[in-house]
Amino acid sequence: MRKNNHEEDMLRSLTKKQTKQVKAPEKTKEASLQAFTRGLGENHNAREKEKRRTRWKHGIFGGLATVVAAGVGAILILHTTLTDGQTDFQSTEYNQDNHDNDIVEDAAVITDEPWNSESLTPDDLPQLGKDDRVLRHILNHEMINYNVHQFEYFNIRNDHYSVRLPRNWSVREDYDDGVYRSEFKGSGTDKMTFTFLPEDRFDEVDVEVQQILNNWDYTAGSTINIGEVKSFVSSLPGKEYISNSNQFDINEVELYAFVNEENGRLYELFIFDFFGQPIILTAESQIEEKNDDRLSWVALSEMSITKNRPVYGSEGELHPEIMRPESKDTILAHFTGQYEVVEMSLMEFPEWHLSSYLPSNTEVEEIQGEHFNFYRFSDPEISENSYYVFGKLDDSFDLDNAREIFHSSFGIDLDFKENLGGSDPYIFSYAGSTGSSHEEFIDGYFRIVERFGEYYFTHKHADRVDYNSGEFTKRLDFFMDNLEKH
Amino acid sequence: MTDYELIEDILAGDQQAVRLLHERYVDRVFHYIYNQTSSHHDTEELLQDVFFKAACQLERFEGKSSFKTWLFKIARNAVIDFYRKQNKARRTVSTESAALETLGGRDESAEHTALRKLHMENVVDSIDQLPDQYRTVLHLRFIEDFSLKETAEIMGKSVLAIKAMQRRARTALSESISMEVTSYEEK
Repeated sequence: MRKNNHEEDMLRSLTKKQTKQVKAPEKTKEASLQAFTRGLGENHNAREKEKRRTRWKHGIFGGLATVVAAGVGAILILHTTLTDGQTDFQSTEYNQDNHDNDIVEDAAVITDEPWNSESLTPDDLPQLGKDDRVLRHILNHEMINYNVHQFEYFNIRNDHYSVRLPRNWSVREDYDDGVYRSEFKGSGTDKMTFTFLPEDRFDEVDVEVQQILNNWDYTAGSTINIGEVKSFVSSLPGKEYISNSNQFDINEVELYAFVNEENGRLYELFIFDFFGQPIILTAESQIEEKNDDRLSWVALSEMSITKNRPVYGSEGELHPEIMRPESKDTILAHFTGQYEVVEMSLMEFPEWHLSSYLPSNTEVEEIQGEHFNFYRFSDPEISENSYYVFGKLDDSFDLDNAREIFHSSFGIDLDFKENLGGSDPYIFSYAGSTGSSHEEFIDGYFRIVERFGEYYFTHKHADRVDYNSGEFTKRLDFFMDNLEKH
Repeated sequence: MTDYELIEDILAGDQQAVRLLHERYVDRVFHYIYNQTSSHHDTEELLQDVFFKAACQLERFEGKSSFKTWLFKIARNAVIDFYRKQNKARRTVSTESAALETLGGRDESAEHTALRKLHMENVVDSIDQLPDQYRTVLHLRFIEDFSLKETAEIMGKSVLAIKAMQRRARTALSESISMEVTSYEEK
C-alpha cells in the first residue's frame, strides 16, 4: 500500500471513529429542527411580502433595466473601438443566454466599479464567479489561426516538459531557488510564462499568485469554465493529429481571466498540478490581436512530458534496508509526446547487490545460463511473445564472441544480423525478414554495459505478430536509469 | 430520495421532508461545529443558527454544488462569524484515545499492538495540534469525504491551497509518527 494512501486510510479510520462518538443530543436536534422550521417560515413570509411588493416595484425595475441597457451599450462601444476594422471579430457571437445561469449571485462581483487590483488575493479567486464583461472579450473571438505546421514543440523546464506554440515565438528560461520559469514572447506584446514550483512546495503557489495579481492592472475578472477550454481545443483544425490521450486531468485546472477595459489588455491565470508538480501559467495579450488569441489554451492542452519522472507524492514506504521507496507511480515519456503513468515496484537483486524498478504487474523469470545469469521480464497484457532482459556476465563470457554466444543462447537465427547500434561495439542488433512474411519478423538487440565495475547485459526482443510498440523499450530504459548498487 | 427531491417537497410545504432532510445532516453538522469549538453550548447555538440560515436561503439553493457542500459552507461561515463576534480563541478537541484501541488487529503481537496504539495516539495528538485550518481540511476530507474541489468551495480557497494544507498536515503527521516510532524502538 502506498504511504499516502496508508496515512489517509489511517486518518479516515480515526476520524470515522470520532464521527460515531460525537452525535447531537436529542434535545439539541429538536432545537435545531425548530430553527430549521422557523427559517422556512421566515422564508415563506418573505416570499409573500415580495409578492405584495412586486406591483409597486415595477417602476424601480424599469429604471434598473435602463441602467443595465446603458451599461451594455457602453461595453459595445468600447468593444467596437477596440476592434475597429476587424469585422470578423463578430463572427462568433457570445451567447449570453447560455451563460446567464452560470453568473454568480454575488452582485458585488459583477459591479461596474473598477477593481482595486491590490485588494484581490488568491483566496478571493474561487469566489470570483463569472463576469460577462470578461467572458465577452474571450469567448466572442473567432478561432485562432491554427495551423499545425506553423507550430513547433518547445522543450522547457530543463527539457522536462514540452509545449506547442507558433514557430515565431521565443523562450527564455530562468531558474532560482528551485523555481523554474519559462517566459515565452510572441508577436507584439503577447507573452506567456510557465512557473514550475518544486513538488513539495504547494504552499508557495499562493505567494506566487499574489505577486502575479499585484503586477496586473485590470478592471474586471472572471473564472473560466475549463469545459470551454476543452471544447475550444477539440474544435481546432488538425487537432486529431495531436495526441493527448494521456493528458493530465485538465478538469483540475483553475482558470481565471482579467481584462483592463481601458487599454484592452487581457490577462489569464491557470493554476494546476501536473502529476504532483505545481504549475502556474500566465498569459498576457491585447484583446484586438486575435491571431494569438487563446494560444494559452492550446499550450495548456498540448503540454506534455519529455522525461521519465515519478508522480510526486506517490512514493510508497521505504524499503528498510535499501532505503528506496517500495513503489512509486512513474510517468514514462514517449518520443511521440505521449506518456503513460505506470505503477512501479522495487525489484531487488540480492546476489548482485542491485535494485531497480519494474512495472508492478511484470512477470519475472530467473534463468541460469552457461556464461551468464539473467532475469526475463514480460507482461502478457502488452505482448505475449516479447520480453526484455537484464543479466550479469560471468568471467567466462568471451566478449570477442558476444554476438554468437547471445544468439546461440537465446535461439536467434544467426542470419538475423543488422548492426543498428551505430558505433557502439557492444550493441548487437538483429532483424528478421521484412519481406512478405511478417510472421517471421522478429527484432531486438543485446547490449553489454559496465556498471559499478562489472559487466551486465540487457536484451530486448519483439516480434511482428505481437509487437509491443516500444513499451518494453521505455520500461527497460527506466529500469537501467534507476539501477543502484547497495 | 435525493436531497434535491426533499428540497422540492419542503418548498412545496411537506413537513415530513423537513424532518428527513434535517435528520440527514444534523449529526454531521453538529460534529463539524463541535470539532471547531469543543463547546457543547456553542455548538448547540451555532447548529440552530446554521439550520435557520439554511432554511432562509433554501429557495435560493440552485444545486450548483451538492446540498451537503452548500450546508457545510454555511456552517463554516457561521463558525467564523461566531468567533469574530465573540472575539474568542478557537479551541481544539481531543480525540478519545480509547477509540483507537479497536483499530489494532486481533492477531498481532502485544508489542505490535502497543506500537500500533502508540502510532494512533500520536496521530491523534498531531491532529489536535494542527492549526485550525488544517484540522478543518482533514475533517472535511476524511470525515465528510468531501472532494478537494468541494473542500475548496466550502473553505473559500483554491484546490491547490487545500492540497497544500493537506500535504502539510500529512507531513506533520508522518514526522510525528516516525519520531515516535524511533524513540519507542530505541527504548
